[in-house]
Amino acid sequence: MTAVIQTENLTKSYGAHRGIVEVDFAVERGEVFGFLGPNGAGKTTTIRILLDLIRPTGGKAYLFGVESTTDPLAIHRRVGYLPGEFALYDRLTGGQTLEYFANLRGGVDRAYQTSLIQRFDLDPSRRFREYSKGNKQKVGLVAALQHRPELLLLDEPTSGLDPLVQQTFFEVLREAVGEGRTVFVSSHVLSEVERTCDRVAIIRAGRLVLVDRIDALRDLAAHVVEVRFAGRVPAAVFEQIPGVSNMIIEDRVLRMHVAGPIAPVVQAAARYELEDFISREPSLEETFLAEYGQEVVEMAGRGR
Amino acid sequence: MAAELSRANVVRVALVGRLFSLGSVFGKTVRDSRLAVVVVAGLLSLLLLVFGKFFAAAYPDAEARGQLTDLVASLPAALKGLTYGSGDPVKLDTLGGYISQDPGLLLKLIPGLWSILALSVTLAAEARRGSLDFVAVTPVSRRRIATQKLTAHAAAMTVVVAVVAVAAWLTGQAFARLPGDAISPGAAIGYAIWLGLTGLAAGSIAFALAPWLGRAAAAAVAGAVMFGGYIVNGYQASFPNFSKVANLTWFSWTADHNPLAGEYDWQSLALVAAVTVVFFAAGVEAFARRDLGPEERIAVRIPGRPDATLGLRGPVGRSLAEFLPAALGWGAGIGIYGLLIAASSRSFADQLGKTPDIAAKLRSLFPTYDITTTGGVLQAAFMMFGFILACLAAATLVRIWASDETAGRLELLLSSPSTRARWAIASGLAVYVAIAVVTLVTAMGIGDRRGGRRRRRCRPRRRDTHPRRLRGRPGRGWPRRGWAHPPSARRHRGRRAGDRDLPGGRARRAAQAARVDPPPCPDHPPGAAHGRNVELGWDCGQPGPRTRRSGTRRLGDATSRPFALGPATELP
Repeated sequence: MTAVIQTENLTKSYGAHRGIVEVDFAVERGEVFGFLGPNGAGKTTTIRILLDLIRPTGGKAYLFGVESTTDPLAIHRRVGYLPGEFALYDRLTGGQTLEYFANLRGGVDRAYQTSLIQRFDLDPSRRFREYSKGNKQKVGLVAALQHRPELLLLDEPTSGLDPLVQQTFFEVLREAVGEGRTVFVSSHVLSEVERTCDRVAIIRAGRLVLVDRIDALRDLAAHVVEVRFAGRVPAAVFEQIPGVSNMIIEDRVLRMHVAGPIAPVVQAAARYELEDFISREPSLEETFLAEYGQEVVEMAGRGR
Repeated sequence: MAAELSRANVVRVALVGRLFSLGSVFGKTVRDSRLAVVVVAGLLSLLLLVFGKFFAAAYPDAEARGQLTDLVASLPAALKGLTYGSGDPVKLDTLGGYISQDPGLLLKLIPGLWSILALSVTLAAEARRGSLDFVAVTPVSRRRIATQKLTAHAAAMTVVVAVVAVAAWLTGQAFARLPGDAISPGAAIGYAIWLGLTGLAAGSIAFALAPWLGRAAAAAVAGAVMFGGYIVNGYQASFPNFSKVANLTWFSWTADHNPLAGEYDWQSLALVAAVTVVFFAAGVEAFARRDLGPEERIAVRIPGRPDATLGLRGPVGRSLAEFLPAALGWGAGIGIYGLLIAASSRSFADQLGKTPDIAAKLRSLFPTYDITTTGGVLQAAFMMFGFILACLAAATLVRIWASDETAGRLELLLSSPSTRARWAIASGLAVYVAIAVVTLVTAMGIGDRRGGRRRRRCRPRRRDTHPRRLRGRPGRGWPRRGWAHPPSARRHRGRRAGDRDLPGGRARRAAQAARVDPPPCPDHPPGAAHGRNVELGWDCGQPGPRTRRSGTRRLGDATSRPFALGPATELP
């Protein structure tokens, strides 16, 4: 497979403020790539460097094999972009706004544009300033999608969308991937990435922590178990079970993380009188934070 | 295959759309400029017609125009420079010459103000709201985006120039009264091109600086360069040291280009155009090379404001803290403008006294105050331009006032346990305080100049002009021993000019009756105004009483001799 996006030690610093530090990853053609991280981690900075909206302090980024700063126009012709925060022209209607961006690309397929407007349930006759936050987001989405770009760079695309429209959006993404196009989605919501992405990169404090398939991330997941005993908590019994960690005892309640098979914990608990037993699979975000959070924070601290 | 099919359905952009609609960055910028073009072109055309009508009505014959020429020729260099630019006004006795001198500065500066505002904001506003990201990722290079924005503004300016040229020609057709008044199409076009080019020159500075300094700072610097350039150019006759700087301004370069007065200097316009293009190119290149984004610019390190001035305790303080920088800036700007006018206004009033006909005409033009007084001149200057500055200041304050809502923080503010009325009253109160700050700083600028001049003013010796001393001594020269201002005179402070002949008609009549040849004064060169001071028994060189009002000086009116000649000239 050919890498549609390739970065090499991509670094951006804003004077005293941290940007991103030596970010390396590659996105293959036809995949949906999730770019995850908490607020302020450097997701938007990375995307803006890819599009040559800002210039890197160090390292390089290649899109379609073209270095981002040498020929940005060649890249822009093949890219659709949705910024994380934007406001368009207050005095133009949604339809006029879409027409303007279509014209700047030399025209678009009107039928496809119309179908997107209908699928997202957007009223194009209203002025942009009259739209709700979700409808403004829809205008941005159609503007990014309407010219059928080979690569979609979407910065937190579901922000403000209701669940029904989110569903439509994910359908459109799947169609795009089905046509062989590539999608790069940044988000801080792991559940969203879990649903759509093939691979994911996790960035924290400006540094890339992990790039892996979404399935591999799931393997990291540990169950969170909460047991409420009728009597005293037999902590020593559970400490000896392999895979049990992070035990917390509050009165007659025992909370713990269980990596691997959960059956030994269930069997041990069954020997006692219980008032409640709760087991849930943590989100990837919880897993990610538990697994990588502290380490990266320390790494960032050493880097300063 | 799908892509090929979709390309077949693509509707190409029509040429009209590219030129005047949403077909391109150029077209959209032109489309967005429609209202501004109508306003600027309309305002300039209206001013041309008003100036033409005024000139035709006020100076219908050669004699009146001769008086005007004499008046202007006798003005002090500083005032002449500030009003008409460097050098003597050319052919002021013709309609075209009068209009091209543009005594109110409006015609000279409005195109520049428009360009500064338009070109400082054209890219910065898009960057701030985030739409620039959408535009910048289309297959249109940054250089093309910036160039199309520029050329669109230049096209809009071209429309304004065309309208102004037609208006100038029409003014000549409508108001020509004497031979030489006619304005040829060529002269009108030459004049309009000069207006447009100098306007673009001012805007080019804002455009070049905006990527580095941000929108507001770039506009402020460009505005300062334009106003400062005009003032330095005008004052170079009075202050030769200004000449070096003045020679760097387009007002100096184009001093010999007065098409309405029959003078052409196209080379100077070429120089202005070349410099404008250089600034434009610098701005385009800076935009192409810098990082995009609302805060992506070279930050100028400005010391942070003390916490106490941030108004974090409540809505009034917070609102005022938002207004304060703008209020101080506008107050200082208008104050400096007033200071410069005030510095020259007394001389102007003196010279006006020598030409009673013109004084009478001006009095009819400004009936609510006495144009022949220092304060009156200052007031007239503000009528011409100061009010526009004040309106711009007010617009800035209103914009800040509205920013709570436009920036989207109003809902957050109203969700706090305060009523809407409280927020409205608090922010409204802050607006009034901000206006007071503007007024105070402006007054400081003007008042400082007043104070500086006070010690050098002519003043009457009070004891010599007391009615009691004057009574019974008509025709026997001036009395010499003392009197004090009667309380009744102080009570007259603040009344209209017509009521301010203190201490009343008795003194005036006595003064007229007691007219004698004035003795020479060692402090001043001979002149009508000073001669009249001496004639009335006033001497020079010491501080005068503060109760005197400038409004009592009606130098142009022989029937209303002044009693108090303003050492303590005050604003009406």
